[in-house]
Amino acid sequence: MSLFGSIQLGGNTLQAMQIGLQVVGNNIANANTTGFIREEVLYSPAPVQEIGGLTLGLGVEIDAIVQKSDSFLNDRLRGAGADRASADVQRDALNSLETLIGELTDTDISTSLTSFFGAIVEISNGDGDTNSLRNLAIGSGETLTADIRRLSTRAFDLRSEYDTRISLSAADINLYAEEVRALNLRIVNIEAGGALGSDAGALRTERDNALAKLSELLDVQVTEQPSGAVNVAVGGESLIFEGVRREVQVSESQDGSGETTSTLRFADNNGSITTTGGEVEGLLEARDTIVGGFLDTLDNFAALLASEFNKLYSQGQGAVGFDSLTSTEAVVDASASLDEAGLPVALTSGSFQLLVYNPDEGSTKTTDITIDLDGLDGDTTLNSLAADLNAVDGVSASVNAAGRLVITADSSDVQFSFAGDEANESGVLAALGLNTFFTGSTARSIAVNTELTDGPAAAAKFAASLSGVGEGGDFANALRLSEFASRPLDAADGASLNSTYDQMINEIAQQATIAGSVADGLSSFEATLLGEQQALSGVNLDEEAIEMITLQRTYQASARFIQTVSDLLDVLVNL
Amino acid sequence: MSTLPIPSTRVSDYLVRERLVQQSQSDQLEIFRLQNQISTGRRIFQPSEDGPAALRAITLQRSIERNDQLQTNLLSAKSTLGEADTALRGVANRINETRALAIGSSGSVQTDEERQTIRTGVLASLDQLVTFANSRSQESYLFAGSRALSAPYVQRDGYVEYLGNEVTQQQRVDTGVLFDVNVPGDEAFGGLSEPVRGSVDLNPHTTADTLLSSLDGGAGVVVDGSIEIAYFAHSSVVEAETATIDLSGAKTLGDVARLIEENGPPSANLRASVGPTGLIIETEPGSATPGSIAIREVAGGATARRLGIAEETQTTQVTGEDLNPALRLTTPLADLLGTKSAARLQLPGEGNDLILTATANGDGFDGTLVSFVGGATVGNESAVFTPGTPPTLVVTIADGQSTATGVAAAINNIAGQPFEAEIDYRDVSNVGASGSGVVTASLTPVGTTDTAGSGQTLDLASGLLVTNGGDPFVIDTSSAETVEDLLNLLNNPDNGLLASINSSGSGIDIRTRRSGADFSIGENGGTLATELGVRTYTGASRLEDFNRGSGVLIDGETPEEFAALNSFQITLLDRGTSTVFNIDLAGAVSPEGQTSGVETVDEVIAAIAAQTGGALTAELAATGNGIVLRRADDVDPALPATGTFNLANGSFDITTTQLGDAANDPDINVVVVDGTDTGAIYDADAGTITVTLDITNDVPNLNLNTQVANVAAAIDALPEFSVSNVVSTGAAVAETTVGGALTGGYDTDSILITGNAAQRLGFFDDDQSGRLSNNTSVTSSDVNTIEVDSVFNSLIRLADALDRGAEGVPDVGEAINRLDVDLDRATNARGELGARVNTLDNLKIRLEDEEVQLRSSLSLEIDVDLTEAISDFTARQFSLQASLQSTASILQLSLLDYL
Repeated sequence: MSLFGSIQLGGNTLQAMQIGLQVVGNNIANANTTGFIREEVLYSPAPVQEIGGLTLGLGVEIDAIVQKSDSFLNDRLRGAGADRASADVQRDALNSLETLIGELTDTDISTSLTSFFGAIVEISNGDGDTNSLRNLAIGSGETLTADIRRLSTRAFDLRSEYDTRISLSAADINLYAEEVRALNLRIVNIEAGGALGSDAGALRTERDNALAKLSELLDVQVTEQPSGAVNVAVGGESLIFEGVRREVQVSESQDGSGETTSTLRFADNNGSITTTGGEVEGLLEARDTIVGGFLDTLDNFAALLASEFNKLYSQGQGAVGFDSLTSTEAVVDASASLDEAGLPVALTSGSFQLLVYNPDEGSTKTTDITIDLDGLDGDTTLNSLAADLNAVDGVSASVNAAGRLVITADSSDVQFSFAGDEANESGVLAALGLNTFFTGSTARSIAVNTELTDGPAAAAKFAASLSGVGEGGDFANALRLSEFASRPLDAADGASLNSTYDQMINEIAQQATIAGSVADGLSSFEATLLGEQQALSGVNLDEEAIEMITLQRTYQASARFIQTVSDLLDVLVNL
Repeated sequence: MSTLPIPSTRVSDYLVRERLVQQSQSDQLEIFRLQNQISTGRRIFQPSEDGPAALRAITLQRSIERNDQLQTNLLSAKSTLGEADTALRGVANRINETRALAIGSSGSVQTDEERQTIRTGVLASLDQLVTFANSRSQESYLFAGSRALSAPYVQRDGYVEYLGNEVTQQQRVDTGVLFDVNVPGDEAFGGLSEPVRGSVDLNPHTTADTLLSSLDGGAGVVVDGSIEIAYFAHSSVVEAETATIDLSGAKTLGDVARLIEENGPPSANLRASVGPTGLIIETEPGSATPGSIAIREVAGGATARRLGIAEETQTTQVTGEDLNPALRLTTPLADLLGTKSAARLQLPGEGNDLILTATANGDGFDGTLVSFVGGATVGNESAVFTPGTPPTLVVTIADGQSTATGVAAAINNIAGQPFEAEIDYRDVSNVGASGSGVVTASLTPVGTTDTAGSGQTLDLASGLLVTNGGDPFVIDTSSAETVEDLLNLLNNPDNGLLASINSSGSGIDIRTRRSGADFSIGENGGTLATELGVRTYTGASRLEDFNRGSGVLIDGETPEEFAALNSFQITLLDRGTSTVFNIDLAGAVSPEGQTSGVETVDEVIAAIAAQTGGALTAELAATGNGIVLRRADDVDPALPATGTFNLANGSFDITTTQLGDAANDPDINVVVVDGTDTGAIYDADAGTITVTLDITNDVPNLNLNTQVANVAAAIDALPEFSVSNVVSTGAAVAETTVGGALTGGYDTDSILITGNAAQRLGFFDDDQSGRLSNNTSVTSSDVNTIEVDSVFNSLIRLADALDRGAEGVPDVGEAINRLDVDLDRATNARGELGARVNTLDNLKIRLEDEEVQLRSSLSLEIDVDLTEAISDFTARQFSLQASLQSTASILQLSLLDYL
């Protein structure tokens, strides 16, 4: 052991402490850097030297600079992030729906429903000119249908927004995946499988951040390789393997109603990506289940309102009859039995009456029109129905090229109208759209029959009566219709329109409540994990200050040691 | 904001800062939320903030909105009722005034002028009451029933016609509660007569198209389940096959029959038809050894029983019970009364069976032999029906080529369409093949009608003779095909009638809308009115209803007096012989010595027949209404008197030119005197015919014959006599007086009806003492007319009675009595209105209470509890302050400061 050797030893110590201080400085510098994992210098005694029978230490040496991180905790944190991202999107979707519905305000559909049925009651109250009252009811009907259409359109827009976000997420996935892939290569190059596997600290932080972003989008499984690279898989399919990445792309499909559905796929084999968490899962859930489901429920509600209201409505007559009428719905095959002809409403056997009214004589001629749909020979088709109607004196009926039934009065002296009773209701008038109030069978298409909105005089056609045309003071049908909203409906398994609506709202409210709690829970969980992660990997300035002082002192002591040895050398030199 | 665990090992600055930021964010968010709650007063803004409460709130909000609507309805109802009440108050006052006015004229001391003045007052009241009855609330007439858009009462030709109906308008004043908000004019003022109730059950036939909902008199049969049909092989008691048939989709009897045929036990080969009164189900039709069936309920259901076909005992044919369908507007008139012949022709081959139904009732089509002969081409099939015994139906077809559809068309095309032919769906095994099977020619008849027809069809050709005030008019029913057509004809606005199907669905009711008119329906020479049961004057009409309810019989103290007051006399003059029949309407004397009198028109007819010993018969008028008295023999015309006068040199017969009894002169002399020839002079008083002849030829320049012939010629020249059978010897006559008699003259046969009872039966008017007729028959006028019980009727009758002067006095009294009834009616209607207003007031209070309750519940659900919110707010505020302070402190602490 020479003095020079001792100086060398002290010099090594100074160097090690300098490196230590650099790491501390780096830690302090990154105290506020998101995702930064604090680093630690691993010191170890330098190899010993045997001089004679003595074994002398040669000072300190630095083994490695390691990141203080727990890869298992990181995985959990990424998973929690994915779940939270998914839940957040779903909660937002439900909140948006709630806002759209606007329940608990005075502008919601339940208010429109109440005012619509209120307007019908007003007809039967007869306070004022009946035609104006009828017009008012028709106007309320238009408001109601416009509200339903608006809600549907807004919800549809929301759905489109989620679809667009799904489609945009592909670019993000590719971006982060590419980042991870590139960092993989650099980390492998730098670390080259050496030290304790975390030499490329900053790069790793960068990669961790990219992985965190990726896992917010998709529920990814990350496995670190001995080389320092990570492999990333999603839904069992590999996304990144070492230095190779699979490109993700979007395929769009469109259905008849202009609804676009985007799907994320791998570009190489066109396989679809399945994920059980992450924003993408949240977006898919929001688009298909939450908003899509709501749109379906709303469609069912609109269809229930239209078809069941129409069934009752079509049994009534207006203050004036029709001189010509074309069914609002068309059939695909006019010679097929009506229940298989492509009509939106379910039909059964039954009958209705065609009333031919002569205003001059004030007399009505009633004809029973039987609808036979027992599946045996001789079932009613649109053609046979047209023939039956055509056989009635005073009216002509035919099926036009579009598959619609056209009925016309033979002369201006007669008007025709329809009647029926609940025991023999077949649903044909409602299904074909003859003498109906609503048209359309979805929330986006529901509207008031244009027969009623075609100028102020058309309001007289509002079927308020049950005792025939020309009985302008009979409001029996209006009275019956005014209770429609609370009437048990067979088509809704005995539920009423109101309770169907309530159920729809209730479902959204309940889902929103649940989604809110789930998102809160997942946030807390993520925050807890983050706390744990920070406990391990976060920078504490005080800790670093202590470390810094320790290193400084060691440095000072080492320097003093060198000076002491130097003094010894001086003594020696001055000998 | 949930609380997060603090890591137990070490803490990083980053975490501390993040947490502090989160903490203060969360505090600020909460403060903002509380601030929002306080400023808006609302606790929740989105349903998800408190799902259950939000849902309750939605229901509450709806209830409140509904409640508001109900209160509006209620106000509207109240105002309508109030206006009606105001109108009716005026009515009561007016009736009272008119009554007071009329009472003054009910004595006989008034002059006609005074009566006319009162009459003018009565007519003014009438006008005013019509105005009251046409009162309006907003746009609608208060007393028009549901025909509220046009005036209910219209004055026309001196009558007041009620154009409203009996419907009570309703409004919804509470959930599920409909409230009557008007009183139809008929109820307040009167407006419609009692209906002429169809006394005959028109018994509509059941057909394949008969709706299940119209069965059981319109109550409907609910077919919501299944039936079970068990099949037993021929002469076996062991159930061979069982089929459960779901009938729940059936809406008509035809549906039921087809479902049974389609789904019955296959071996039973069931044939289900709709007979004239119900279902008929046969096993293996056409088989010589048919099996049998039993029809049972499934699982305690009632379907088979309701359809009248439940049959526990095995049988080859189940003939269902009478299902009693109700009359509907669309019921064809041909389907009323009687039954029609029908057949299900089973032709060899598949898809070619036919159902034939006669289009008219009666047995004329029973056993029709149906045969098919070749000779036509496809599409040109023809058929000929020949009535007779048996009737035949021969269809000319293209042998083996014509389809059943073509054959059916040919049968339906026979002029007058005796039969309606349809394809029988039973004859196919695969859907779509019906009617496509071909028919082959056969020399022998292939089938006959198997259901017998009966009864007859309505006599629509004759129509009805209706009097509804004014002259009788005929309602021509020949064009009517359905019940509705008939009702439309009757309801023609010109007729002033209201005809409808009665509530039990068995016949039609006809009423008059005309107050002040006498209404009756009679035959127009046919039988329609009787068949429909709407004749107002029938054998069963009760005498007590006659003469506007004052009846025919008059009470007497003793049976003798009763008999005397209630009898009338018919004096029958036959060839000068007069027979008086006393017709005693007192009827049989009971063991107690009391007589009740005859009660019905039939009894009057029987009494006349019995008490005239057949010399006279009585019957109902064939045209119009009334009793026709008809003599048994013909009417003999009046004859002159004749007598033979024998003079010395000849004889002659004298016949009076005057006819009748008055021409007889039992003691008449022909006196021949000598003198200047001046011809014959007839002195009726002395009973002598004096013929002056120059017998002695002493008058210059006269050269006359004085033979018997000259005497005869002179008498013949008299206007009173004609002479015949002159026998003259040529010798001159001497002065002579020949006595003789003119006999054999009698009056035209006649019927004379006298007696008050006859007047009350309508044989003559109350200002006549009797009715004499030289016709074979005498018809009474219709004194069993129907009138509207209304205040307008009373006033019009009162005005009429006043117009008739002193004679009308009794009717004035009657009219005043009726005004009392009218007043009661109006008062009752007012009372009814009052009660309703009262109920509405109660409902209103309840609705208001409910509203308060609902609003407070709603407030509990969604409104913020301010105290709580404000204290929370304050607490949060402190918490935020503390948090901010500690944040600042923590962030300032650093070891570096101490270095």
